[in-house]
Amino acid sequence: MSLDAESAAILAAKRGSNEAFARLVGLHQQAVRAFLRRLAGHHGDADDLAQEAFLTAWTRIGAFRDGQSFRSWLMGVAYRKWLTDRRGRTRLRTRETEAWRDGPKVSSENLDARLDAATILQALPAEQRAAVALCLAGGFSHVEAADSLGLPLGTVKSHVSRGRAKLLELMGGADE
Amino acid sequence: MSDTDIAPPDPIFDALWAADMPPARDPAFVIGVLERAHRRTLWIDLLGLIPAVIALGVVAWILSPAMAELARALARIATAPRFAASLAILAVLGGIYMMLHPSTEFGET
Repeated sequence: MSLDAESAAILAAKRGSNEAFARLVGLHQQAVRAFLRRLAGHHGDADDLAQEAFLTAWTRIGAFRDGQSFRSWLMGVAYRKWLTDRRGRTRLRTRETEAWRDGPKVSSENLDARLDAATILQALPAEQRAAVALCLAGGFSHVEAADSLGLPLGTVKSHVSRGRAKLLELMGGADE
Repeated sequence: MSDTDIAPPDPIFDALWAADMPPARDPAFVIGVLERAHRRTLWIDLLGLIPAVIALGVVAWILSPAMAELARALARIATAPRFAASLAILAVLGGIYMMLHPSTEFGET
């Protein structure tokens, strides 16, 4: 979908078009779900949160400003949804801890790739994980990520740099 | 690298990111979102009806003495033999009319 087509879909969704909203969901579902999976560490919970994030985005789409990046705005909605959910759900934290404690260690040869990825990413603090997920995995610029996460630009840069170094350390690789 | 630049792909992390990547097209997910949206709209509509239902209940409660009086008057009329016979005749005539002028044939959709 081109930017013009996306703008048209946003405008139509603002006017209440279900079809336009469905197009936007289809266009951004992969990025939003991948972002939340990297944050939450559990695919089922993350996809559930992604659906909730899209619903929130639809109800608040009137607040989306023209000229703003829609994907940045959407990721911001998803990030805040995850933060709220994280505060209220201690079981998620328990699951993360169990995954870290009981899961196979990173250096093993025969690791399950998904658990491995979840385990490594969960080792990063929340904000750092979010910045890494957006900038290193999601192809966001530092400015876009700062806009999405509501953090100062310098903080995002620092999170990305430290997060990358930490990931390399956990994966057993040397930083370049 | 400027602030608006995007970090170049880091091949060392490729496997890490790939593990969390959902499919590019997922109609089931989109349908799931729309279903949730419809469910939420339905609940909002139902909740919106609550004040109207309460108002209706209050009005019915206020009018209940007058309504009871009216119901008693109607009951007296309805149980009168002439009225019952008139209703029965009307029902029979209505049935005959509907048999002669069916709106749809049997089995027609």
